[in-house]
Amino acid sequence: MPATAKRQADTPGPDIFNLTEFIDRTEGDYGLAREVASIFSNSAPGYVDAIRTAVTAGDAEAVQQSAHKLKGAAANLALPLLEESARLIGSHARSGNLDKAALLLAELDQRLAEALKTVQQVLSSPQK
Amino acid sequence: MNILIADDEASTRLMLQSMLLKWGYDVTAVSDGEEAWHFLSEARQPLLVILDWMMPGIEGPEIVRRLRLNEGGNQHYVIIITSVSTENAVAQALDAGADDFIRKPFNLDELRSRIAVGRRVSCLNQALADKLCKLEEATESISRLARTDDLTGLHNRRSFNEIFALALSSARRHGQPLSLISIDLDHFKAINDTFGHSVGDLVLKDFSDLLLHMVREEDVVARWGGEEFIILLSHTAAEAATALAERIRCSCEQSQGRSSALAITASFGVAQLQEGENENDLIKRADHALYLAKHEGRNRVITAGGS
Repeated sequence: MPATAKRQADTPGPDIFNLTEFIDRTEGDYGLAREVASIFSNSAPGYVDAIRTAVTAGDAEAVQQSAHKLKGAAANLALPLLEESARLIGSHARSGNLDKAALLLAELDQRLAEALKTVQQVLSSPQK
Repeated sequence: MNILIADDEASTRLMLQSMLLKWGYDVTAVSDGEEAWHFLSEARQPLLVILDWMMPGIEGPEIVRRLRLNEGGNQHYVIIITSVSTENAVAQALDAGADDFIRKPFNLDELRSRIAVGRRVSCLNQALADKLCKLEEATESISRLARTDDLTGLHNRRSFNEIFALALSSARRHGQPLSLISIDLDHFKAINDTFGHSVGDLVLKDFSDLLLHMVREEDVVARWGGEEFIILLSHTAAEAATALAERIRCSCEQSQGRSSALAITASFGVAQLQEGENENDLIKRADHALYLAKHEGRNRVITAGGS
């Protein structure tokens, strides 16, 4: 694979991580961006675990709260797909439909993994 | 300008805090509603407050609702921030008492502008609060001046009459004794004529200090006019009032005040409240006893009998 093609394949699409939007939101402050990304990487898996635990326990209120928190964090970091998954799970929980929420957990895990991988790129990017 | 941020989501909180610091604000950041409420309850100055909607402990709209019910809670400018996407979220936040509403994720330009509006309103609130405070102090000062005799710092006649009416009513209701001592400095006109008014004033001040020094804290001492004074003694019968008047008379005679080079004496009329008497009746009897004290040679205490 030519080098340019490989770089394109490695660069996440803006639906996974909109880097430009995220950096704009920090007024171009890469130091702050890295710090925020680091906090997200540490806290987001806990939000997903809390959602899974609450779904298993049938606690719709707790599902809503954790999904809301994850949605806010994902939106803050410009991670649209993860934000959407969190929004849908929260919406199902609000209408008391935890079965539907449970069906989205695998997708949520996958999107979280993608998100963590991409924000890691911000963390490891050279100083600008 | 100090801004309080309350958001339980750490990355959002950090981002918001960092941007506000960069824009020159002082920031306090807390991670739940209870902490925010505690901070606001203790706040002494108007703050700009940014509250997340959904938080552990107390949610943002509930904090604003409580704040607006509290005295002084209206001084804070509150912005609710949320990613809650329901249609009526804005109306709910504003109805709860918020001043503004911002959706997450933030548009930086909008956030900066809205916070600038908040700062402007907060500064106006602060200026208003400062002016109200000064106004209250001025009102209190005017009220105090209106009740105080300029020269001596004692109650003036108007203030005495107000207190006297209440004390009389209370004495009647509870069947408690109440007495008056009416006082007049002897030969005061001669002091003024001989040494001038500034010395006369000094004598009046010294005598006032003596009175205040000798009465109980609950007794009311007033300058009745010129060189006349009056003391209201609640829960006090004529015997005790007479004894006090006698102690004051002796002290005055032996006074070592700033005007002690002058031989100052005073005459005293004492009267105890009788059944069916009003304020004027009691004052008249105390004044009559004072008249007798003057008539019988001054520098003495005369106690009025019953009417």
